[in-house]
Amino acid sequence: VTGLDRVRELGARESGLAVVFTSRADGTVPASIVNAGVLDHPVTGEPVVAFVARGAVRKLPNLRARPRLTIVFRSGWVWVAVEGVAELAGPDDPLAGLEPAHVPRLLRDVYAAAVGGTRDEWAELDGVMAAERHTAVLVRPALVYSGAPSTTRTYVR
Amino acid sequence: VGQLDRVRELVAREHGLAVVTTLRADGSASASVVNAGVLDHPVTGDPVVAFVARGDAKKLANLRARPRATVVFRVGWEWVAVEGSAELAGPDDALTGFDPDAVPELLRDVFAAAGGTHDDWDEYDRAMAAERRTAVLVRPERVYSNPG
Repeated sequence: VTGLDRVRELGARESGLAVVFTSRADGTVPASIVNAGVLDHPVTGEPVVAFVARGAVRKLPNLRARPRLTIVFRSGWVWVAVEGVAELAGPDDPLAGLEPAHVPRLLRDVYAAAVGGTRDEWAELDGVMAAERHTAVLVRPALVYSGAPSTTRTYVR
Repeated sequence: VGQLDRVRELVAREHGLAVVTTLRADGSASASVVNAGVLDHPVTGDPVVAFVARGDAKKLANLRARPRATVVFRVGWEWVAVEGSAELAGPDDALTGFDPDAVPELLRDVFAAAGGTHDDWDEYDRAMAAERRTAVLVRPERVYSNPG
């Protein structure tokens, strides 16, 4: 789980900002930026990388059809990538084992892990989250790797 | 080309740091971080997003088999993504219409486009050759960013 410690560390330095890559039907790879963090899976309790997607965004249909994703946290030259299969929990995406009534609490927890603040503070936005059909995306880390980019750095003066 | 100006601006602010994904054989996206920039394609003259890859890098093997990349530049909340087909020019990858003897100069140009400078370009050339470094040129077929 040291890789996830790196995610926590880089996340803390960059407000949880991360680049998410999903797949289109033709196999091409769209990118977007999210705030993501690490939290315990609401059903299994295992640590997962999580973020929230608004209902209207294109990555949700991509993830429903092709749930594998790659998410990259970078701060300066240091980075860590996490890959895995995404599970969704939201108004249009029931998660097995999670009661729909508990989705708002999960969304608050994901926001708190990704952006900061507490579950109770995020509760103020329950109405907005519901109206915009916010959906939690939970990624079980199947592959975690990291690095600093190449020796090119040593050539920069 | 307006969106590529945005790339140039973000390159200048963050040493050209960008997250790149290439495709593995199973279709999954493999990520790494590079220094990238915008320069004119050495054959066509069209602007491309370019970076340099080590000869033994996994992304190069992926690009030889599946020549397509997504490159994302981010500075704070601002970001721009570039997707497109990738061409290679290096010691093990001939680019059609391009003189192989000009590879070292192209690698310097890519490095400079990403904001790099060097005191001793001959030394740079030797290091590039020793690592069998290859220029990756991504045609900006899709360019998009956050609203506003």
